[in-house]
Amino acid sequence: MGLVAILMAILLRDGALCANTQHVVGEDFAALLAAAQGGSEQAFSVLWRDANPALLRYLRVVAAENAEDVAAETWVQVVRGLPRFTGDEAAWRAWLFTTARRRLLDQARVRKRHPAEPLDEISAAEVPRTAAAEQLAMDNIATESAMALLSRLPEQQAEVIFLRVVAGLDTEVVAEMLGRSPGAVRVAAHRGLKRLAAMLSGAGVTL
Amino acid sequence: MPDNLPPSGWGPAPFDERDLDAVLAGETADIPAALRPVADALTSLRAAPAPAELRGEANAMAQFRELGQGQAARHAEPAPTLLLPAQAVGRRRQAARHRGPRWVSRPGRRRNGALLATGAAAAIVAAAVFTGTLPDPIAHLARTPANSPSATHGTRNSSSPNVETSTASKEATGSPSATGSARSGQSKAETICRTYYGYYMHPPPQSDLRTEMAVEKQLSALVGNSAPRKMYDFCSQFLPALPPWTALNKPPEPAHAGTGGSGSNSQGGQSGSNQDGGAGSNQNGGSGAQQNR
Repeated sequence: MGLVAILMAILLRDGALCANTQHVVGEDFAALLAAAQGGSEQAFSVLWRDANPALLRYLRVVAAENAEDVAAETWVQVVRGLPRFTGDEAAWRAWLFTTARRRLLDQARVRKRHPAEPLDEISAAEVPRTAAAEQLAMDNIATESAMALLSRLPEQQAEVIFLRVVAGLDTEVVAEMLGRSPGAVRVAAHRGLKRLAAMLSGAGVTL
Repeated sequence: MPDNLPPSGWGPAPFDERDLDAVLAGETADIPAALRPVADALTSLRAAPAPAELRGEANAMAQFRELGQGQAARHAEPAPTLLLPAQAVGRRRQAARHRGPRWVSRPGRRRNGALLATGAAAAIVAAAVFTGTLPDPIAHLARTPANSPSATHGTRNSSSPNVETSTASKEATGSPSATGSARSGQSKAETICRTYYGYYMHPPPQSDLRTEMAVEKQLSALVGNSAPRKMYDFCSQFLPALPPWTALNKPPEPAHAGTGGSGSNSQGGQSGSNQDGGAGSNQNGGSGAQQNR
């Protein structure tokens, strides 16, 4: 199957572009990756469109204030390492999210050394609100609501659920990323889901 | 409202861990009703991207063009060496020209180079002298000062045959210093040969007869055989100017003829022809050489 046909099949799958943030590429991933590694912008565009929404959502939950910056830095690093990458789609996603997490930790370290000045003197009404935030809220209220709900979870539980559900990573991969045992990751995910269920049902369950 | 109803959350959990795993895996067909809102929330997390989430594509593509294509071009095919652009070659030459004066302008490096070259040459010459690979005249020149003390030593200690015998045994050991031992043994053997045939060609006064006999003993010990022909063959390798064996054993001229000289000469000739002869004929040959004088 030629590259153009692969791209068309991916773009027209389910009648929508990126209808789901998980495993959009599927079986054609190997050909797409090879094309992107060979310099095809179209192939890289498909990979980017497949992964960037999930990446942004993950970053918004774990680092809401600079998610866009971290995502951009992550893609720069991914583009640099793309010719040397080998693996399937799961490995690709694991690599992408691992890179994002490292960039996040690097930024946190930098911010710790050089703390930014707080915007105390600017009132909330004067803080510029980006059109993107409004548009996001308007366009995908359900997604934003779900992300807001997950943001109320303890950080590790929210991160585990995001990596499992949105990034589509296995328990073992998430455990490796976070430096924890698979059992601990599984327990954290279950506790997070129970807490979510409790929040949604209106019953205050403390886990 | 009756007061006997259990409070909310009371009783067995409405779902178990398998249900939670199913929710995490996105398999929401058979999950309990209590997990349905959670499953819906997670499904909305995986919803189609908002346009804002794809807004950074242009930047990403620009980075891909800048970084990715250059890398892809580098990884695609190695550039053939012969098709290097002429400008790059010129730049390299300029750099070389620039480096040249810097190298020359350092006198310390020159001096170091000269010292190194001199040292290397000296080491090569020393090694060549030591291993004996120099041409004969040069080797002779090089050997003479080094061997003169041992030659004197050999002449002085000609009455003590043990010294030479021990040197000869060192030769056979093949130890790391075997070459040096061999050379010193060789020079001693040459000294003994020269002394012995010096006595033979130019007979000393009677008072040196004991010394001559001691030298003969040393030589026979070195050769391992006291046959005159064996000793001649042994010494001829050190003394190229030695007259032929037949010339040495020809009958003495009338001017040098002593009492009973012909008889002894004939004995010497017999012993010479008996190259593989026994000890008796060898002893006769040896004494014949003494009686020739």
